[in-house]
Amino acid sequence: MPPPLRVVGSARCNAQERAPPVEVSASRAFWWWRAVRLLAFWLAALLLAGGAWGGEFDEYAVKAAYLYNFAKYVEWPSAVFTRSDAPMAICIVGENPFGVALSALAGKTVGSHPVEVRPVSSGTELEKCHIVFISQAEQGRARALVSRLAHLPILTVSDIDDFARSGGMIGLVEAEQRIRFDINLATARQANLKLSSQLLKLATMVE
Amino acid sequence: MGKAKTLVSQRPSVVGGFMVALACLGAGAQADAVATDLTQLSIEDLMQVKVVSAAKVEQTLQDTAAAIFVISAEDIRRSGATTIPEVLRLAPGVEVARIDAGRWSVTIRGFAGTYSNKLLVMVDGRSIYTPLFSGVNWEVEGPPLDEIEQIEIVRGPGGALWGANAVNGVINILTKHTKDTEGGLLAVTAGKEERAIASVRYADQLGDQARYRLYGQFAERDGLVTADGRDAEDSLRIGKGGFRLDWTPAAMDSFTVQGELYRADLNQNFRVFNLAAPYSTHLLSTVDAAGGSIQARWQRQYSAQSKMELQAYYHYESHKDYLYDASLNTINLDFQHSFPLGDRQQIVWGWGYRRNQDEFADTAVSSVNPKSRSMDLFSAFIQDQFELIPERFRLIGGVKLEHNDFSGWEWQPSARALWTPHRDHRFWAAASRAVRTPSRGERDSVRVNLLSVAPSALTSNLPGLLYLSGSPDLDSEELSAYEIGYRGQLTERFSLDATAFYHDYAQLLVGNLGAISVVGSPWPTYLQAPVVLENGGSGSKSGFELAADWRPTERWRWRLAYSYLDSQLTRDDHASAIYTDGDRHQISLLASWNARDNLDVDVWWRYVAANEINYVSYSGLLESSSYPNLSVRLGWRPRKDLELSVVGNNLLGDRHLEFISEAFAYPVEVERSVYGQVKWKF
Repeated sequence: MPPPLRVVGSARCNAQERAPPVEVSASRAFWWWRAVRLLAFWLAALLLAGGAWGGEFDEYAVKAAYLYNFAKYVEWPSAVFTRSDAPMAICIVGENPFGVALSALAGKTVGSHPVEVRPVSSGTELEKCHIVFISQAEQGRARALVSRLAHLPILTVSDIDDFARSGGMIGLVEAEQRIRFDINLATARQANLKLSSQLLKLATMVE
Repeated sequence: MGKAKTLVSQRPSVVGGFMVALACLGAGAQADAVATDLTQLSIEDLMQVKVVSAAKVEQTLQDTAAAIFVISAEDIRRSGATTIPEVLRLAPGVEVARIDAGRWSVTIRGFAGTYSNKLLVMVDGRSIYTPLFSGVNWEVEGPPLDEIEQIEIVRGPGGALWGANAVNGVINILTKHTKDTEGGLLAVTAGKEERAIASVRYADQLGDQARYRLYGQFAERDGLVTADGRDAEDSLRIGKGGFRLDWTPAAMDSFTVQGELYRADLNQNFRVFNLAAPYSTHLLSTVDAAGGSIQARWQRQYSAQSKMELQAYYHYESHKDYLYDASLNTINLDFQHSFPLGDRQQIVWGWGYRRNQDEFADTAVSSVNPKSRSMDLFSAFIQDQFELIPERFRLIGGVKLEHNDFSGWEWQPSARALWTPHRDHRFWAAASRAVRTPSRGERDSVRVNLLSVAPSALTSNLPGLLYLSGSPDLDSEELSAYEIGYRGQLTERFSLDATAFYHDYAQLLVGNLGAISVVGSPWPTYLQAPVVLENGGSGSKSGFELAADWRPTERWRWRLAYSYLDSQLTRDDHASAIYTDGDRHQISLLASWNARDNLDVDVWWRYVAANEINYVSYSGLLESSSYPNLSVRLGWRPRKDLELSVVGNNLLGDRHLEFISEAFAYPVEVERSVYGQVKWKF
């Protein structure tokens, strides 16, 4: 169970605990009032914390969160960012499988760089991206794309099967209903990207 | 994801309801919800988060432990139909018959009639089943066909989720999300029977987070013909207009507001009974019908499997014809929440409140007292889906508890099981109970003059009058249903869906001839006798339904729907009359050919076997004969934004009789028709 989900609910619980104790009275109105309040409390708690029971997440919401984490744990050569507030560009190549999940990244920053998500077609403007996510719809062209970007300081990520083994840097893999990731360290080094030890420790390393 | 959209909708869904998971799963992934801000999780935590993939969502329809059939927008477009009842003919087990130019008998698993009262029909989760007479005003209700995303049809009881009157089936008509409509659409239809239908629609962005759509439709239909070939003069004109607004202020919240208004002038034929010669004449009556609704819905998606939904609507309708003159105001509030409990359970629960406030006026043949009434309906339901063996065997149990002003507390439980021995084969079984609650016209002090008889020795040479009388003791009609089904993807190109059922009915309404009295001394004098409604009938209906779908090549698709129904209804010894209907076969075969990328050819053949229906034994057996039917549609898109089509309906004969209404029957026949349509997107 992801921890933050509990937060909303427990905040509410605290609020209730702080409520002043009510004097005991035998009047019917009191019991009614108490029942109504209890019901209102549970309804509010439910509305806000209903997710506390939610065990599963949309796969692409999780993958979007991974993209954000990769941005945090990869170091680009300093020359890549022209200014300290230049955007960190995450580009999605091919049909966007994330839906609104990417909106979770809007307004986020990595260091001093605001995150910017761009849908791009496979031909153009890839050079200006920091992270390129190749969607499964582009499977046929993935290899060509990766080799084109091989010597540029661009992190390539995809959930295409065996992506890291076939020249990509990070491959997202689903196993037992969970998303894990493969890293191909050689291709990342070739591109002059430094992957943090944190990432390397958790990843499955592939050649 | 594209495919998932067509199967599972994010609106209140029939498929959804059944599929507990759906309320969560389906809608979950579809709504693209990001429950909490996952970006705040560390990588270690992310690696522990369980995900649900789109592929799993696509299976929800397959995984439903009920007899379900879905008609898509594409099916509707290619069917050549211009009304919702015609579209419903695509589904197995749904009996559709045209009564006159505007009226339809639509039912599932028997009990056909103008007032088919055992089928619940909804538009985006809003009930269009009118409690005024128990049934659906098909001639005026429902959105224009171009607005429909899909129609979900559940055969068999759905009372455990949708409550009373979902006895023999549930139909939910879902309109398109505004994100699926772009710009304008103008459609004009003209033909021999479909004289003129013009629809217009416009959809656009409203700021960054909202979209809206406006639509309007005007339709004028020609009348049918009488048995001797004369014009039945039952032509009609209907105007409708509506809107839908979708607003998604945050990833987890979505709001929808929609509304519709309609007004119709319908001409309808009635048989009129008199107490002097001629004892039976015919009347062409003008029906004035108007109505509208507004509904709002809030959905909050906590995670892919946890979701909350709150919906409120207001509905108004007024209807005035020869038989009844009434208006109705309805307000309704529904709440629904679904969430997983542990790894293997999924719970859906909810509650609802509805208030119906009606007003009746006397007509030449009917009188209702009290004239006005307000009735409250409270309901609550819970359903648990339990994965006994993950991905192999699943149990679903649920119950709905309701309270209404007429029959008091009603409980409607259901137990279902789904066994998936292999990815491509599924078996399901279900046992459920459902009830139909009495309507105002049956329960209150109601009098409807049914028919008169000419003087004879039997009536002491006096004219006689039979009238229907409501009964305050009336209770709900009850059904216990047992169903089994198989759903299989036999090859990549061939799928099969088969269902067998046994429905056991109790407390069915029957008519009982009451005491004869002499009225009107000294003159005119006649005899009268009431037909009093009682819960004196019982019996069974059993049958099976088959749907097959074969795509031999990329360009060809063949679809077969077959259903068989056997009816065994009996009445208590003292009861005088009961509704009965005979055995029934119906078959539909639709061949769809994409001759070229921009040229569609559809040929649809149907056969409906003769049906004998007996409503009140005094009026005799109403028998319609078998008829085959053929319709052909050619659709051509010379440009992306333009479609031209020609449709021929009822091509096998000049005319045929489909149904004889129980309500003052005046049989009219359906003619061959041809129409052309132009659709332009702008």
